[in-house]
Amino acid sequence: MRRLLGSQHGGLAVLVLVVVLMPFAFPNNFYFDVAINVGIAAIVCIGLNLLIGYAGQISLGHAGFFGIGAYASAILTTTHGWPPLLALLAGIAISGSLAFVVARPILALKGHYLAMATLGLGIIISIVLSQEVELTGGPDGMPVDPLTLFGFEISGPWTWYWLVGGTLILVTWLALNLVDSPIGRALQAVHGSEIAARVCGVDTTAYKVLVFVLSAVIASLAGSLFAHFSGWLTPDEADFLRSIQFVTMVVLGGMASTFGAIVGAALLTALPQFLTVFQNYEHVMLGLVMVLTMIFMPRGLVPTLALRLRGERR
Amino acid sequence: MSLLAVERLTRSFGGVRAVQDLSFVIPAGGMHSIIGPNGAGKTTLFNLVTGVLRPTRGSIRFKGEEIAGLPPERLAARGISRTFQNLQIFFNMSVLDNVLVGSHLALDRNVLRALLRLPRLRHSERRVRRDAEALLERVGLAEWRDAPADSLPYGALKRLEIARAMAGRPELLLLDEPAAGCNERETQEIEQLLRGLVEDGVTIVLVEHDMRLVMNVSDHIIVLDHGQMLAEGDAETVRNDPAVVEAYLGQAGRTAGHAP
Repeated sequence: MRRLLGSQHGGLAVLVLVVVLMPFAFPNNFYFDVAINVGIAAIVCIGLNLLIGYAGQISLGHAGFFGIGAYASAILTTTHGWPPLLALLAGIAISGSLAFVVARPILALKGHYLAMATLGLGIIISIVLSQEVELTGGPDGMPVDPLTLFGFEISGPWTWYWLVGGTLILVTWLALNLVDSPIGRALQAVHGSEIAARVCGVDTTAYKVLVFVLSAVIASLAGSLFAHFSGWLTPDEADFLRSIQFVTMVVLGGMASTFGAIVGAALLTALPQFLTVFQNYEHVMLGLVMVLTMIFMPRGLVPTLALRLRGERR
Repeated sequence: MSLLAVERLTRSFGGVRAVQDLSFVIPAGGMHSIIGPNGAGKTTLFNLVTGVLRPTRGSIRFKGEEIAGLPPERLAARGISRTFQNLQIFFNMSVLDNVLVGSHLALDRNVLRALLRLPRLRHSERRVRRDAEALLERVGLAEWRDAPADSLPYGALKRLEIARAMAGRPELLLLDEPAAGCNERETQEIEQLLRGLVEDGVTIVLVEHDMRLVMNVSDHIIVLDHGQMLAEGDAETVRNDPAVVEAYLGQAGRTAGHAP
């Protein structure tokens, strides 16, 4: 078990197995719905974990990039009739460019200041999305055309499930590869000691920009998928609370653990759906989860469990 | 030929001049030490030479080229590396990964190839990984290879920093108190290690408070006081310089002089 979870390929194999087998146990469409939302959140969290967990930076505004992707897809397909794949790529280009432009000044900040700056960025994006009524339909939201890929319309729970599941596996594989490369080590070095990283020849600014852009692009991709899947889009998807949700998922699942990000996303997406008793207290629960994680397992779920397992083996 | 030439270097912090009109030359090869009382400007000088601080005035030439004000990552590419007085280990990484970051510039850093795990990248990494393991062997950390860096004892971390700095294959290596906090045996291990590196042709500049180590290993000693040069020469010359004895060595210098 430990070797399976410990080695990267083993972890990926487990993920593929879970994704492939799980839907056959789903009793009804509601479970598909939850699973697809889990997958979309997990994709965002894998990217965000590269930024927060590995590179040691923080962003309290990543729902902004999720929102940009979602609205780019919604507006370009529904209002302008673009092919969805092109709209998705346009969303990625917009998110990536915005992230690239703001990354240098923002990532020069550290700690609280970086948190505040990314928070501000997220809020600005979310305000623009709800104020530009002509473009986005404002707070009431807008409809989104269904997703068509290469002439096939993606509809029905099974098709959507395979699409999101496949994307999740692909993004996981890419993230695992990146982490286990000179670039991944450079990112972790930035986290460990910025000055030592620079002395080793790591251009820390360039790597911070790279990981910020990468995480924004991944969030944008997930946003585009979400827009088409839900069929109706409101600015709530890009707001501050959504950003906090993403960060909480990463922290709960485990910093610097790609599978942790997936577990965190799964728990915090699925639990509120099944524990509807707590519906009115969702934000309280979110805060409570964050506080308890910080106190009892600051490394997060997956790294803590991995350590336990390793300890027992010795 | 001089490897490092510092000319009229000055660095002020507010009204305080930590380094003042300092000029000296470090020839290629050998072990060079910089000593002086606390606050003499040794660490500031290191920070200036490695690009951590920018000089207020003056010039620093490395292999004949001006490098004053260049950032550390550019200097790493030119062959200057260093360790830190207060450990700057990547505690979130394994011992081997720490050393691999030291080889950063020798590795394939293409993002696309990294994302797709293309064979070319794996190939370039295999060789560097072997070198890193050899370095760990050399500093006596081979058995800790896969351990998290934060599980190592202090003396081992000191040697890990040296291994990481060596992984970049520097021509000039600046060591800021490599023996600080080490016991006698650990200090001897570090002494052996440093001698080996000099034999390999690395030019070492050492800041160290352990006078016995300094006097044992140095070919050339520069004594700083109040950011200025007080004396310069081999161990014998420096030890017998009245100004040095007066300002700094005092009892310790005379004791070292009597050591076998």
